[in-house]
Amino acid sequence: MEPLIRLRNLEKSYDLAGGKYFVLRRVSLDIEPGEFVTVMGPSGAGKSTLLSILGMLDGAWSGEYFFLEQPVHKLSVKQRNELHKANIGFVFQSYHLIDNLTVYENLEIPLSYRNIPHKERVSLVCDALDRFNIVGKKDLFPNQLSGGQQQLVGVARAVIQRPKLILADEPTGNLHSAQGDEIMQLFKKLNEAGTTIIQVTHSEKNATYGNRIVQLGDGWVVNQSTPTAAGGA
Amino acid sequence: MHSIFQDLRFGLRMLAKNPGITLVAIFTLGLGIGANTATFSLSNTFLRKPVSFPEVQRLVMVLNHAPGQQGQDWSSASPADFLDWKKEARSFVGLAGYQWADVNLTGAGEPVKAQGFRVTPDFFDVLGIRAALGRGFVAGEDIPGQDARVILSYGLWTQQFASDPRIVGKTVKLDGRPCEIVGVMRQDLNFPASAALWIPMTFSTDEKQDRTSHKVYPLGRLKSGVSLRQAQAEMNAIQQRMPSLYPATETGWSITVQDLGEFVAGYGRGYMLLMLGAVGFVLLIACANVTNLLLVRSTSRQNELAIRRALGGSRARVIRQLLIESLLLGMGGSVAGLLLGAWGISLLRGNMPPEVSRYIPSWNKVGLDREVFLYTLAVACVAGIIAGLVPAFQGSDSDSSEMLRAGQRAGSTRSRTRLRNAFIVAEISLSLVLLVGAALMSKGVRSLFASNFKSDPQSVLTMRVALPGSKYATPSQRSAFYDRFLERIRELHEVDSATVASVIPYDNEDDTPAFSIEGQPRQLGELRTAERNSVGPDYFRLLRVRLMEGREFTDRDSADSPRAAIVSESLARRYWPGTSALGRRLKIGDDDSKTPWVTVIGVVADLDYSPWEHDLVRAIYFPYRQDPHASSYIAIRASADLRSIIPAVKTALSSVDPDQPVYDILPYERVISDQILGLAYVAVVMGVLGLMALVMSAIGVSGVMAYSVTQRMQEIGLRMALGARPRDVLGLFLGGGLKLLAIGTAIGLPASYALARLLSSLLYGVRAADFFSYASGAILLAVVVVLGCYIPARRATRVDPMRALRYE
Repeated sequence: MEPLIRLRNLEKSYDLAGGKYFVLRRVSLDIEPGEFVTVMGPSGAGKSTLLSILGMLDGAWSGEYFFLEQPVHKLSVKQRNELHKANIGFVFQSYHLIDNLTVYENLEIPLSYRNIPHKERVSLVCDALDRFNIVGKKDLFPNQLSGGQQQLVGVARAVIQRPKLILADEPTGNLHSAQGDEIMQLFKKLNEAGTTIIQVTHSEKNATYGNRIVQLGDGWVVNQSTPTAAGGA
Repeated sequence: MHSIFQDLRFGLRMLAKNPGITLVAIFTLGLGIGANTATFSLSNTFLRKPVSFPEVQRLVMVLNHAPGQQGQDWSSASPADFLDWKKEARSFVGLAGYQWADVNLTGAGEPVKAQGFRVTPDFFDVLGIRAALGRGFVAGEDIPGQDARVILSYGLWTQQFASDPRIVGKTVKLDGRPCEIVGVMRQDLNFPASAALWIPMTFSTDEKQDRTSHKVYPLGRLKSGVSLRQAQAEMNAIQQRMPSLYPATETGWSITVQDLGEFVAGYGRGYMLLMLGAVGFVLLIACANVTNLLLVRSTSRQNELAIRRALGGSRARVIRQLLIESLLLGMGGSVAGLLLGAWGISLLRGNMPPEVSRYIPSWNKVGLDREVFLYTLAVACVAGIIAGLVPAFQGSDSDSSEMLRAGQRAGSTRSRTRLRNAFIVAEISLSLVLLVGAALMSKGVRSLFASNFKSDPQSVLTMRVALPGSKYATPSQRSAFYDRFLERIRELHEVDSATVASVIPYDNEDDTPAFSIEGQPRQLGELRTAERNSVGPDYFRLLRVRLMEGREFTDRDSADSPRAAIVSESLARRYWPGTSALGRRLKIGDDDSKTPWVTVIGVVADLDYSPWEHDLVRAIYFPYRQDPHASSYIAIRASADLRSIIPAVKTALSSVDPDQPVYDILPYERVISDQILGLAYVAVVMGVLGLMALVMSAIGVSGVMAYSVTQRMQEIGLRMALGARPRDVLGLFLGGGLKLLAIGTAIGLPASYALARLLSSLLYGVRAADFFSYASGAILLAVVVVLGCYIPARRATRVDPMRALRYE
């Protein structure tokens, strides 16, 4: 089976007064379908940048990036957006829910951007509310929810259109440990159901939920390993 | 479709969440839209629907241009020319004519003076309208002796005849002559403007050959399939043959065929377009203000917009959502605009004196109708889109990856700041153009008032008499009437002086015949006309006109004494430069006319006879006993309240002739102001628009400055912590504001001048390069902008550095 993602010599840099500053350097990586990969490293290693590039939110880089065998590096902005919309869900550390939309509306937004008919949207949103046990909160606004509930909605929003890939940037960074565990358990279930997950985290414990760890340092891939214990242990 | 409803719902929610910004935006847009609504309702009626007749687009006026005249300067046709055109032109289904004819109406209550028009029998047929009662004129009623007919206007029929349903067939006297009432016209007919009645136009044998008295207004209906351009070409061809046949009277003359609606709109057209342009500027200023508000708001929404992009929202989709929000603001502005516009219309209509509005076609139709309502909605949509376009493009351009990185917060980039500043500069420039325009117009109106207020018109009463030919057929009869009337008036102890004049400055009369100078034959194509005025001995003293040379008229200048004339200074300078005009001779008419030569006995200072002439009109004065006119003004300077002497004057008149009415009894001050009223109106409107622009600019500048202070709070704290004094911080922000003011002024001043030059034909009483107007506009704007910057900048000086450094 072909990898879901293939990176070859991916680089991102900024031009500064003293010369180029590299955020990512010659990153080459394969991600197989169904993997649960954790990207780790110290601050400034390039983890979030890598995630943005993988999520096609950042187009200013060089190298090769194949997603489902499609050469992303050769696609136009519009084509990348379409590819991203169809296949990728994002979970943010700061939840990034839209404050002026209710929980229901926050879940509906990505479906509306995919031109899914109204009736189908209603059905998908209701399923998601039910699946994540947040039916009773559908009419609340984000500022009326706890951090964990907000992140739950964020995860629900990411998975509602059944993406092939979920990218999670410090998904439990703003949560306390019990809430964080809940979210990670959820990711585990999703992965077991076939969704490929790539997470960025500082937490060794969260890393154990995955099946591969990619270590970044100063923009380089410095190491790849498997977690020493199973998730949650 | 559902996604549009979704965006509408979200848009309403967003607007409700920020009530302060929403209300300010709606009010600002409402001001701009309301001004447009009021002005459009005026211009829509005035320009597009000044008259209402069947197939009105085929109705045209055929205008003469004397040598040197062009555009809106035209002359009516001579009787002989009119009859020739009627015979030769093939482009028209009918070519009718009309001419002004004030008449005294007696035999129906108190004698009144009625504004009448002599018309050809086919006049109403050409217009395409039928009488409400009775009939129009028929062929044959234009033959002298067969013309004792009259058609009443609806207004005259109701006011003077109590809407008598049996009025047709009755007889009234017009200038003492019995005339049969053959019809009553429809209520909505107001053409020519102010018409009270219509009588048949007749030409005597001499008049049929007359090519020098231009008094007929030809009105034609184009044949089906004939365009205005084709009719113009035909009339040009006809006119081209005329100089060879009649070189003395036709050389240099031309013809214009003009759409009737354009003709009726007349000089007002230019002012309407000026006001439409001005309110367009006001709307742009309002949009610029709202754009800045939305730019500020989009900065705080960067996160939300980045999330939407990250969740798959295309840029177009995000732009659509933001534009829907600004459209909602536009719709809110349209409601405010309709209310403000309705108020503006009622103010305009309520303050126009009836003596002036009766001459404005379709004045009664000005109001909020379906077209105005639709226009308001369209303007609101356009305003909403214009105001929201740049913020929508800016906001949708959020770099998702940067914004969504953990720990990032929204901020204002340099490009956004530059954009906001650009809109402020645009507002300042546009405001300056409006302010300078208002200053020019108001200075022009003031100088027009001043030039005639030198005569102290507030203590002068004027009135008009129209002596009927049947009773005052000879010059001696007319002269005797004026002698007796003036004698009676001078006996009143409140009266300081009284005189007669066939024309007074700023009246509605116009008597500008051709004249000849002895020893200076007129060149072919030369236009040599002057205002002819038959006046009493006290005329110049009463109007405070300075005698430059020679003497004024006295009682000795009678019908039997040598014929004398007084000329205006400009006429003397033009024809006898460097020498005295005294003793020179001139006459009314062409070089070979039979009218007698008269000797110049005096030169007086120029009088401003018309506000609509850019140069002072040359004038020739005759003693009234040598040239008594049937229609004249009586001017009385009194030491008492003018209203109090009116009954005594009327009593004096009835002691001279009980059947003779006097009309248009007005203080001279009012005569002058009524002439300029239209211009004054425009000046006031421009002033109000300038003020609106000023207020909006002040709000815009103040808002942007306040936002800048908020954004730079930490920087202010840091500067103060590093030793900056409050005045350094004040200077920092004021300097920024002054820089914008300087750029806006540098753009606005040349733009104002360019526009003033372009529209100089609309300026009266002031030059396009009037320094005072530009300086006053720029200074006023500068004061307001500096105040707008100062208040928020002062707030910055009170910042606590430590708190500011912790500011998020």
